[in-house]
Amino acid sequence: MAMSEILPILISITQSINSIKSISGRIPRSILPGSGRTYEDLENHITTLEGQVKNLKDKINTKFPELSRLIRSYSRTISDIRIAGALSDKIGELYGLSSEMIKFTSMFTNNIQSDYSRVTSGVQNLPELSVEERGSLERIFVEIRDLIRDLRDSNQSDSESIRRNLERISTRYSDAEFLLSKLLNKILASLDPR
Amino acid sequence: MKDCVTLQEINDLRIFGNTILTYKSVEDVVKYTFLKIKEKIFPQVISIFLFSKEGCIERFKIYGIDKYEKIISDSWLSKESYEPGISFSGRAAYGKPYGETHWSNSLNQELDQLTHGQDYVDKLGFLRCGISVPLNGTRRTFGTLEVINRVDSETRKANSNLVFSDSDICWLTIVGAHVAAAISRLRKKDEDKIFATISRVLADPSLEQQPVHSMNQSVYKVIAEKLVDHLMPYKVCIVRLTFDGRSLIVTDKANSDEKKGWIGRHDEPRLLGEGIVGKVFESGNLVAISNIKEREKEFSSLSWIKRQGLKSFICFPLLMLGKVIGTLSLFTGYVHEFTDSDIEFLENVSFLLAAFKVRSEKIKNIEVPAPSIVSTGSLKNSFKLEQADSRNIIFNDLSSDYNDYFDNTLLLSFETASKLYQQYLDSGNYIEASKSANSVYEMCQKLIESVHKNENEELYRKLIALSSYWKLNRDLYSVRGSLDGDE
Repeated sequence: MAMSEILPILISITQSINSIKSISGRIPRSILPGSGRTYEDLENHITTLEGQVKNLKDKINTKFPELSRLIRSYSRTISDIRIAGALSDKIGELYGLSSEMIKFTSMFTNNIQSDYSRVTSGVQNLPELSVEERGSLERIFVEIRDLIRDLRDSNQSDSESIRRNLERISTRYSDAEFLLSKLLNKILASLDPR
Repeated sequence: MKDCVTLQEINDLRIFGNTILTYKSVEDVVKYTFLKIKEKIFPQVISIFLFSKEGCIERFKIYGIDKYEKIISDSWLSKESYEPGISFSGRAAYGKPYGETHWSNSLNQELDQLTHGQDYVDKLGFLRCGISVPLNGTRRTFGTLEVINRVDSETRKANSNLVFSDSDICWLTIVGAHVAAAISRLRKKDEDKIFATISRVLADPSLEQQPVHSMNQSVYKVIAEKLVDHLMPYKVCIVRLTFDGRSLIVTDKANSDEKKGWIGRHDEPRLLGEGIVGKVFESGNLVAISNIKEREKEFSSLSWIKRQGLKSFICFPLLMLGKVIGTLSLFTGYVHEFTDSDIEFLENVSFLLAAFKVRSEKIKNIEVPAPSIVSTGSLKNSFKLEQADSRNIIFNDLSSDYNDYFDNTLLLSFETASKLYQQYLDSGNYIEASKSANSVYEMCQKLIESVHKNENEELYRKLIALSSYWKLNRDLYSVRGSLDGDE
C-alpha cells in the first residue's frame, strides 16, 4: 500500500476517534450501565488508541522516507548494473555480427570503462551492506575491472577473444545484479508484518 | 706539489673539450672523460651523477677498482642517489641555480655524515679523499662529476695516504665545465628532437582525422608522452580539452611512472573558473607554481599530488584566436623554477596542440554532419572515380579505402558524441544522454539509407550493428532517466 493511501486512512481513524470522544462526552453518565467505571474505561481506551495512532503516524513520517531512500538507491544501482551488463552483452553481440567492429574497440572499451566507474561508485555508496555482502560485490567488481583491463590490452585482431571477454563482463554484471536484487528482497521481506 | 694548472694543461684541456664536443652520445663523452681523469689524477673511483625527475642526483656511470682491485660494475649500489646539498656527493649539486666544486681530504672523519659512506668503505677498503664538481648547463646544474680516493701511480693500488692536490681540484673543475658543455649540447639536441617530433606529429595532416580515442595511440597521448620523456624535467602531463565551452575534460595524460603514477587520481571535469585549471581556462593566462606546498589549497587532487611527490606545476591555455579550447598541465617531481626557455618551449607546444585541435574540429564540422558525404556519388568523387570506365572493378579494388574512409568518418562523429554522452551520464542527466545517443542512432540510420545493401554488404552490416548499439543506449537511458524523473 502506498504512502498516499495510508495517510488518508490514518487521518480518517484520527477523525473517528475524535468523533467518538466528542459523542461519548455528550452521553449522560447515568445512562451507562455499571456507572462511572465503564465510562472511564472507555475514555482510557480512546486515549490509548489516540496515542497508538499518533505513534504510528510519527513512525511512518520518519521511517518511511528513510526506507524509501534506501530502496531507491538500491533500485537505481541495480538499474545501472543491468544497463552496464546489457551494453557489454550488446557489444559482444556486435563482434559476432561484423568482424570490422574491431575498429571500434577503443570507443567501446572507453564506454564500458565509464559505465564501470559509475556503477562502482553507486555500489560504494550503498548503505546497509554487511562486510560479507560488500566483500562479495567487491570481488565481482575486481573481476570486471580486470576483464576491462584485458579488453584494453587484448590483441586487437582477435575479435573472438574480445567477444569472450565482453560476455564474461556481462555475466559478472548479472551476478552483481542477482546479489543486489537478493539484498533488496531481504530489505523488503523485513517489512512484511507476517 | 704544484698548486695551479699550467698553460700546457689548459691547452690539453681545450683539446679534450673540443674532442668531446664532437661526440654523438653521452656514453662516449663519459667514457673518454673517465679515461682522461684516470690518466691524470689517478682516482680509485670516478662517477657521473645526473638529476632525476625526482630532483635528486642519480648515479649515471661509475668506473673504478674495489679493494680487491676488481672493476666496480654499474650494478653496485645501483640506486645511489642524493638530494642536493646532502652527503658529500650532493653538495656540488646544491645551488640556485648553479652548484660549486666541493672537495675533502678527510672523508674518513666525515663518515657519519655520508649517506653511503660505509658502503664505500666496505667496497673500496677505505674512504679518504674526494672531489665533486658540478656539471652546469645553460639554465641550471644538471649533474656532478666525482672522484674518490687516490691510486698510487706506480703501484696502481689505492693508497689511503694519498690525497688530491689543489691543482687536481682546479683541473677537475675545468674538466667538469668541458663535460657539462658536451653533455648539454647533446641534451639540447635531444630536446630539439623532441620538439621536432612534436611539431611533426601535430603538423601531419594525415593524423587530423584520427580521433582522440582510436585504436591507434591518440596524438595528444603521443605529445604528452614526449613531454614526460626522460630528457624532460616533467613527471606528469595532462591534456584537457573543452567540448562545450564550459568544462574541460581530460583527453589524454602521461606519467613517467605509468604503472603507479595514476593511483588515487580521479579525472573530474573542470568547470570554467574552477580551481587553477578552470582559471587558466577562464582567463587564457598561464599559471606557474614553483612550489605547490605554498598553494596546496588550490589543488583539487592534492592527495594524489602528495602521494606522487609532485612539487611544481605549470598550466598553459591552448589558445586559438583568443579562445581557450583546452589546457596543458605539467608537474615536476622537484621544486622547479620555470625559466623563460621552459615557458617558451611549452607555449610553442601549446600553440601547436591548439592548432591541431582546431584543424581536426574543422574536418569534423565539415564532413560529419553531412549525410551526403557518405553517398556513393560523393565517395566516388573523392576517389576521382567518375571518369573511370570500368567503375565496378575499380570500386571493388578501392573497397578497402572506401571502408577506411567510412570508419574514420564514423569514428570522428562517435568520438564527439561519446564524449558528450559520457559527460551527461557522469552528471546523472540520463535524459540528455539518451537524446545524445538518439542523435548518433539517427545519424547511423541516415547512413544506412545511403548505403545499398548489395553494393557493400559488410559496410551495411556494420552500420546496422552500430545503429543497434546506439539505439540500445538511447532506450536504456531513456528508461533510466524516467526512473529518476518519477522520483
